[in-house]
Amino acid sequence: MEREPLDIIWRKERRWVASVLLAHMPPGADLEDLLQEVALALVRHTDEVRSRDNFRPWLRTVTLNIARGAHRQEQSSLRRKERSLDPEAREVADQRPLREQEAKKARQATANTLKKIEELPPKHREILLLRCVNGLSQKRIAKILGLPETTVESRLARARRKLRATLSTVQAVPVHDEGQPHDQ
Amino acid sequence: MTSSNNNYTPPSEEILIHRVIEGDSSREDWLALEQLADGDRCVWERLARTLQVEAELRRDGKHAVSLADHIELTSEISAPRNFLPRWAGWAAAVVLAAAWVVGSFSSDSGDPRNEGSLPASETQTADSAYMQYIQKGISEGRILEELPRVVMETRPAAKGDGVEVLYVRRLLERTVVDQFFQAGSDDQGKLTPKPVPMTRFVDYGSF
Repeated sequence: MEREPLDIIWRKERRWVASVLLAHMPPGADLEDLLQEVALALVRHTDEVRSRDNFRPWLRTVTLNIARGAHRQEQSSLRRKERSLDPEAREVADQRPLREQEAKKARQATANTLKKIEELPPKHREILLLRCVNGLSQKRIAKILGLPETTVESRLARARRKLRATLSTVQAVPVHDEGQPHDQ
Repeated sequence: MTSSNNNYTPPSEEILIHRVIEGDSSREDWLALEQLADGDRCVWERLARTLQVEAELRRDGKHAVSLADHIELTSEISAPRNFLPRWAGWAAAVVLAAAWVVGSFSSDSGDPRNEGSLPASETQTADSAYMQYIQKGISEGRILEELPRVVMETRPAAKGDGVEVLYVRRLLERTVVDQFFQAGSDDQGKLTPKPVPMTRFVDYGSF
C-alpha cells in the first residue's frame, strides 16, 4: 500500500463518503454522527485493505454498512436522540467545532438535498451525488461501485431523468421503472 | 461513451440528454437529439430542466457534504497505521525507543565532544535540550505531560542503511491568559490585534 498517512487519505475521500451516506442513510439520521462512525471504522480496520486499488470499494462497503446499521437502529425504534455514538468514536474522530451559522447552513443544505433525492432509489441517489456533487468521473464511480462504465452511464442518465421528473412541477415526463436495455 | 460509426443506433432520450450534460455527445448523438426534437419540441425544455435541477442539487449537495470537512481523524491513532505493514509500527517504536535512550544519555555521559570550553547550552544535543525543557516545564507547572510520539512516515534511509522515521513530538502545555486576541484591521486597513470577549471561550471544554 502507498505510504500515505491515514488522515490525509481521509481528507481526500471524506466528501464522497458523505455523499454515499446521504444516498443510503435513513431520513432521520445525523450525517455528522455517521461520518464519525466511518472515520472510526477506517482507523480500526484499515489493516484489512490489501491494496490501494481495493481501498475505495472497501471504504464504500464500510460506509454502506454504517448507513444500513443506522436503518436497523431506526427500525428497532431506537430514538435518534438516545443513540449515543460509540465513546471510542469520539476519541478517534474529532469534530472540529463548527460555527453555529455554518453548521445551520450545512444542515439545512443536507435537509434540502435529502428532500430532492428522497423519491429516487438509493442506487440512483448515490450515483447522482457522486457525479454531480463530488464531480467524480464515470470511470472512477465505476471503480468505486464495482460496475461497468456502461452501467454507470445508463444509471446516471436514468437518475437524471427521475430527478427532473420528481422536481418538475411544470413538466410531466413519464418515468419508467427499471429494465431499460442500458442498465445492467 | 460516444460512437462515430455506420452502425449507430440512436440511444434513448435520457441517454442523449445525459451525454449532452456530460459534454460527451457525438455528432450522431446531436443529430439524433435534433430528430427527436423535430417531433417533440419539449425535448429542449426537458434538457434545460434537467440542467436546472442538477444545478440546484449540486448547490445544496456541495454544502451538505462540506460537513465532512469537519470530521478529522486524530493523528495519534491514524498516523501510525499509515497503510504500513503490521510490523512497521513495532519497528518504528523500537527505533524511537532506541533514539530516546541514546538521546537521553549520550549528551551527558562522557561524550568527549561535550567536553571543552563551550557553554553547555551550545554543546548539548537536541534531545538533551528537549529533555531539559520538559523537566523545567514540569517543575514550573507549564508542561502537563508528553504525549506519545506520532510516526508520520517510515522509509528506507537515504544512505541505504536502516530506516528513516519521521515523527512528531507533542507536549501538553498549560497557560493562563487574561485576554484573547484575533487578527483584525483598523480604519486604514492596518493589521491590528482585536480583543475577543473571554465569555466566548467559557463553554469550550477543549478546542
